[in-house]
Amino acid sequence: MTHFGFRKSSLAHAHRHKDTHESHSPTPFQVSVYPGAGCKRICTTARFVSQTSSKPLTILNTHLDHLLDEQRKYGASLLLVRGRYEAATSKGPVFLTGDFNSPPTGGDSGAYGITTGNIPPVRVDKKFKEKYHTEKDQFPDFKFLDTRAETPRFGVSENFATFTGWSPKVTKGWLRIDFVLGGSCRRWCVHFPIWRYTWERECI
Amino acid sequence: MVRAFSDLEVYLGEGVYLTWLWLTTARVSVCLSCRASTAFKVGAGMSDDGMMHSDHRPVFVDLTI
Repeated sequence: MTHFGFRKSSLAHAHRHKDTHESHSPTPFQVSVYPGAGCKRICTTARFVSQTSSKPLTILNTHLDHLLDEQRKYGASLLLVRGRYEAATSKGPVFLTGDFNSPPTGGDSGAYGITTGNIPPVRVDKKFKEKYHTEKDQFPDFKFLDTRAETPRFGVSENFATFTGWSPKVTKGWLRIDFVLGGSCRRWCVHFPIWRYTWERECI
Repeated sequence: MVRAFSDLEVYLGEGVYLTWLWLTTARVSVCLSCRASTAFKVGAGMSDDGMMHSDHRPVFVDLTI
């Protein structure tokens, strides 16, 4: 599981809005394993409030399966539903952080492709969609944007790979499999030390 | 409280940023336009007791909401 760090002077945790939600499996409301997957995979959702501006901030934090791309695709589709729901209900920015156990390109990049809207999501549990229902006019094209792609080139670290496999001297197998993604509903922008990009587009 | 925020910045408090003095006046004025914002760091791939005790390296982005 990945971690989200914040300063308590900046963010307050909205305690009523936190849940370690649904398994990334066809029975998401039960603790369960996707058929063929290596582990139980879940997502934790937490909502915070800025101490200074009172703006809400929602974080989805997940860890997708290390064996099965089908599980990762299913989990990514659930995350897309949940992210859109949070964007619609919180009226604030939504971020997805996590270890996807898969890179953004190649044959096993289904999770990244689905969360970023490059490939269509798979059909998910009906009860899940009902619980996290959004109206058709509420962010119908919702997806997550890769904050690395949103950051100006001169602000991106040269070392892209996030997984080292304990092999600091042999970089051949290193992959970029951990991501920080922001909801396409915006209300956020990448802050860069010298230059601030004003890409804040109001949510509908 | 003043703390190092990046190679080029000093963090002075909620949403107030100043670049190091070697920057030109014009650049400083651009940076000061950020003073109404609040920045957060979001991290991924860190372990319980420190970011490097893992076979994943940390991922950071500076965000303004």
